[in-house]
Amino acid sequence: MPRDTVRFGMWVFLASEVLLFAAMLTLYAAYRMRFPVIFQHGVDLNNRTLGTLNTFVLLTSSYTMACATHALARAQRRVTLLWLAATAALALAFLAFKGVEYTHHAHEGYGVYALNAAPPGLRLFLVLYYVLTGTHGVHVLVGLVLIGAALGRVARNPAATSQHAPWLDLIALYWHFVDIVWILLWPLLYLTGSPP
Amino acid sequence: MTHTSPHYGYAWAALVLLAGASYGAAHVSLATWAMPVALAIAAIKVAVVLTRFMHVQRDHGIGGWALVTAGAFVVIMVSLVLLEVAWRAEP
Repeated sequence: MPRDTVRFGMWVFLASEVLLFAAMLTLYAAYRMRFPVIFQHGVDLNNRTLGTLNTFVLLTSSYTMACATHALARAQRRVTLLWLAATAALALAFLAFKGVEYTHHAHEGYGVYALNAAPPGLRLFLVLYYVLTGTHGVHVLVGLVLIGAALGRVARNPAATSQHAPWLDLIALYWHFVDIVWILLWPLLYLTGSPP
Repeated sequence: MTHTSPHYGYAWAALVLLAGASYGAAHVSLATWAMPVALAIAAIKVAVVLTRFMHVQRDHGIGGWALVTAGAFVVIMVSLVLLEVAWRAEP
């Protein structure tokens, strides 16, 4: 299949993903308009340091993934493997930090199993927080599996180049999209709390 | 950096700087401008990722058209929902 056709298919898939996240972000925007102060309080409950750390992790992982595709295009197999391993490590770090954050929420009484105990407006924020970050987390997990599969395939093929492995380009597009979603979630869920 | 294209490094540095700007803006009292400023900086970061890492301008711009179409639908959906919320009559 021609490379342009495959890339176009991936762009259409990503466009459908845009609509999935847009539906959830629309709900967030609508409820934030209805309950602005409660949503600001909800943002204050989140750990800004961990959220910022995860932003740095994902931005860096986009860089390492771009470097991996660049190296594969130049048939630098070992370098490709190193960049892919770095990307996978960063994806794991993101999920680990997210896990720490969810655990903190559970200890503070705002865990996913304690949502019914939260006041109604705050409950809306927390439900949207868990749905948005949970859906994004599943995308990170899928990306991690794809990156792991790419690592295996490049490692097994001594003559690997992007000509023989166009799928790495597609995995990279997907991974950058996951990064873009977090770029939008970070200010909405961590930075726009009560005025300083 | 010898095995990679330098412009990826510049793009990463720009993204980190912009993230710093987002973090800094969150610690300044911007009142009603806090959300627009946060989203504007996020939009610039998205543009950097799209153009520098995803090369959306390649493929004769066809990927860009797919995203523009999705973006237009998103704008219609978000606008209609927010208009309804803003103008909803209280019982």
